[in-house]
Amino acid sequence: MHEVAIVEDMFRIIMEVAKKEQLSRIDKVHFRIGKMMQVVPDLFRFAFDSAKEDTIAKDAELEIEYVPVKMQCRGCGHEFLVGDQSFYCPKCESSDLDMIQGKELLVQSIEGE
Amino acid sequence: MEIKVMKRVLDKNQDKAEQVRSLLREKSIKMYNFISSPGAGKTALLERTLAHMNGGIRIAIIEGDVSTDRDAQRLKQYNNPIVLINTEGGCHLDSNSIEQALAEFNLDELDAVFVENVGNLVCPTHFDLGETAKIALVSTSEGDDKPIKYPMLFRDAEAVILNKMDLLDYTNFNYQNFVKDLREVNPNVPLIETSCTRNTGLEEWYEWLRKKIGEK
Repeated sequence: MHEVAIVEDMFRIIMEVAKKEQLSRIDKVHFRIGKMMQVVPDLFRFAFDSAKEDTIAKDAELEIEYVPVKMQCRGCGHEFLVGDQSFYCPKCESSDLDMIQGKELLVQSIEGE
Repeated sequence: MEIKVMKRVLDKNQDKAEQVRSLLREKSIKMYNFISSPGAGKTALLERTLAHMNGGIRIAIIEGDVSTDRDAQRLKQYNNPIVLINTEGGCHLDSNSIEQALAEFNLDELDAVFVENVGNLVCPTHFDLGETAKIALVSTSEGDDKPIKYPMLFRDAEAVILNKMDLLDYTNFNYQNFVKDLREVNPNVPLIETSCTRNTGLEEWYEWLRKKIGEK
């Protein structure tokens, strides 16, 4: 359900940019989602399609880039991707980790005229 | 034409959460955000805790509910300050509504604020309220796979409470699998096992809480 809130905030951002750049039409939105954010793709697209109705983005396409979860070990500095939700350093087995990637919710760019 | 934007969504919520956090720090108040599925026992845990801490630690409650004021009604009898946030269908609380709720309290007379979030394991995890810590609550009747299915909550939580331990023998909850999965996701988080209806295991929770609230 947080998909709706994310899309609402995304539209606030893209409409601000469109106004500033004096766009009359938005054709594409490039959006980046970290895997840790548990966004359900179908729900997210549905929320996007609902939000764009009656706006200058009504024909816009949504391009999503999914970002895997990446950790850095505070002990040995090793960086690794988390595949199976196992939060241990594969090198030194430490559990003292920093999440350095995977929580993104980012409007990267928009295309329009 | 392509326009680079590079703006984070939910930034406004995050900014407001940081303001709430610094206000609470200034007032030396700890705020705990209780997150669980519906029916795991958040309100029951708060009932027990308020009754136990009666007068000792000054606690205010922010009660998040999708509709109705039933949980708030249950907690009223303990005479702690309480504000109800009705999300009217919304699946989580946000930092803006928390800021407004905090304005209803006299913060100089509080040691802690307990936020009972909307029953949901996903959305509430993603909206920072400015809390000191998240407390994850799970019950044995929900199944043992929650930590692995909702890793973000269980990674963020500073304590995990496994409630309804009295029902363990009547469910297919696999305790070993639960602990194994939880440790995969968060090796060090304290796991406190309780039954709020039978009033067992709660001393350990109160002890944890007293220690945390006493910390600077």
